[in-house]
Amino acid sequence: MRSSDEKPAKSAMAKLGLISAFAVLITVLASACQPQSTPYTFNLPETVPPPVVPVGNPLTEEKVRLGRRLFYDTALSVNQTQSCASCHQQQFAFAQATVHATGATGDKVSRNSMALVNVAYNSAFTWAHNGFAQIEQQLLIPLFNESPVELGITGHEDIILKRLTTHEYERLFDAAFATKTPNFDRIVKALASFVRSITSFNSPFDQYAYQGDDSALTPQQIKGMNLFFSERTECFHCHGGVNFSQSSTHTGQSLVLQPFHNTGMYNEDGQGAYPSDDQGLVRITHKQEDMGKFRAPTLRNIALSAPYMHDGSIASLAEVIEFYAQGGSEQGKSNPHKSPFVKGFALTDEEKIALEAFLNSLTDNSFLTNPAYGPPLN
Amino acid sequence: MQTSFCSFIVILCLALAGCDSAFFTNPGAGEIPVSVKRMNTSQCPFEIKLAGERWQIEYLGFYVSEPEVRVDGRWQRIKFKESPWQTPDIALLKFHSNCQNANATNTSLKLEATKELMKLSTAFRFTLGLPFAENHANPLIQPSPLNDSSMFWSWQDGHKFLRLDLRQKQNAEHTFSYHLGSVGCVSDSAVRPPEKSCTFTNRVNVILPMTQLDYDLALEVSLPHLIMQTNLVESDGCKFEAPDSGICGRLMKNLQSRPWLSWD
Repeated sequence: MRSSDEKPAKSAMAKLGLISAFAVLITVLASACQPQSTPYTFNLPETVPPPVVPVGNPLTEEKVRLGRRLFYDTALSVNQTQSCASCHQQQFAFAQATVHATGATGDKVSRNSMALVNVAYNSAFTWAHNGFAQIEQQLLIPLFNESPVELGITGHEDIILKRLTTHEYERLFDAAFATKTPNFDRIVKALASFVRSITSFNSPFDQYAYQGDDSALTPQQIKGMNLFFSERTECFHCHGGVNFSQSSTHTGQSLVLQPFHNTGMYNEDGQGAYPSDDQGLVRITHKQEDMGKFRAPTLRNIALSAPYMHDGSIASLAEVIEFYAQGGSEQGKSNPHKSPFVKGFALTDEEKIALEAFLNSLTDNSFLTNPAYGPPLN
Repeated sequence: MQTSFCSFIVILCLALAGCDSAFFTNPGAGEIPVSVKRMNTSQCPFEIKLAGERWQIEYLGFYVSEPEVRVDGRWQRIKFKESPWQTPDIALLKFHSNCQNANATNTSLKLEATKELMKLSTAFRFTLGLPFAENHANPLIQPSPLNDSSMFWSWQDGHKFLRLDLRQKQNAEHTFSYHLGSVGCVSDSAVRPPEKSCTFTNRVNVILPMTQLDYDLALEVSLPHLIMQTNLVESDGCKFEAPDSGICGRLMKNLQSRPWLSWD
């Protein structure tokens, strides 16, 4: 009885073994047919935890390379006049030195172009949207938005895809996605990969704080830094975390933080209303308490990304410090939705200059000139 | 044979189940829900009535560390179950609703403790705040929840042990904040940790007597006790100030002597 029971079992085991071996063989053959993907390695200081990369879009050298080519290519805009880099320029920390952006067809974009600094660490995107958890989602706005038109792809998808069938793009797509055929899913994944690769952690502040170099900051910058982290100025409440923005996260951080704040810029009706053309998060959530709430942007390389605030309405860092010293604008400081941490502060002129000097210490010159982030050489 | 084998399995299962409470940790044992007394959670932000005024709770969170229970007259150290909200020695409780995101609150302490241990305990104690080393370490390389930037101040001063941000409902311009943490910490700059204890550590030891045999426990935070004898409307609060200054002293005394946290 026992031996007859064992025979079918042995036979089943043998079949299972054969199937497994066959499956392994198929996998090996299939992978041999595909181009090799090279996992992308972030160049980060030891004390900085890596960012979270979505499972659906693993970071590879090949996708970053394709994304960089696309980022700088005007072929992505409807009339071939603009690329992503038109509004996100490396010398300005991938922001733009204008009050607001202008789309490819001349539409005014109401907001100031955001700097792209350590975007891989963002837990929220754009100036005021709580619905985007990943860069891949945010990217659809500049690509496809119709009001205002930014790159203006909507309705012109086929023409734009056709532009990406050159021999060079065939090679880049093939390396990144094992197919020469472009589509917008692959374009978005590649652009997200390049943007994710843009990191900046080598400012004098980083050298002082994370690398322990006591000489990296001047006494004036240290004085300004102490003010920045003090209860007198409250800066750190909204501009905290690895990227000097509370809307930051990384692989070791699991908790959800609140990244949107009303800074008391406007109060049009005495009830807290912001100008109707841009009222911030309330436009997304339709909750009145979100009136005038915007995301605290990163302060890394902030000296390069003037003008400031969501509408580019403040020209210089000195004026931004004065704005917060006053607890908001003359009209907006009484805004009922204003953050409790924008209460105003009294600093001497010397202290204000020190605070600005500290903000200047967040400039990472190696980031601004890193050729890996610049336009690809043909 | 088959019948006797099945009987043996059934008996074994029953025996193991019977031993469960004696040898294994029950899934629910050691979990202590913590709620905020009279907080209205039907809207966002949550609201509460304090001293006759309605307030929105924009932030309410605090760190609990080094939990111990008293058994047979001796304090016995216990651990928290590890999670994004807890290391073995530290837990972060958060009660305010992050209106933009779900799952932003943690309203229970989860202890590595059996039902039997909790039944034998005559008291539960912990520190409101963080131990010195964890308090002042680089948050970027610390495990969750020590890397919560909304609860971190600077390497020099460390974390906020307790953070309460209120906004007056009828006069939304007025806010009240209580940020408790160590002050008088000496180091070269804000991003250098102090080498020795701060002038005012501002940690608070909390001891809660327990009734033996009662293991189904729940805690309740009483904000009226926490802010007792302070004028919320006239003051904007206390943020990292010495405990002998104005309202900060009153709030510290409340934490030390009033039942701001009690068994429900």
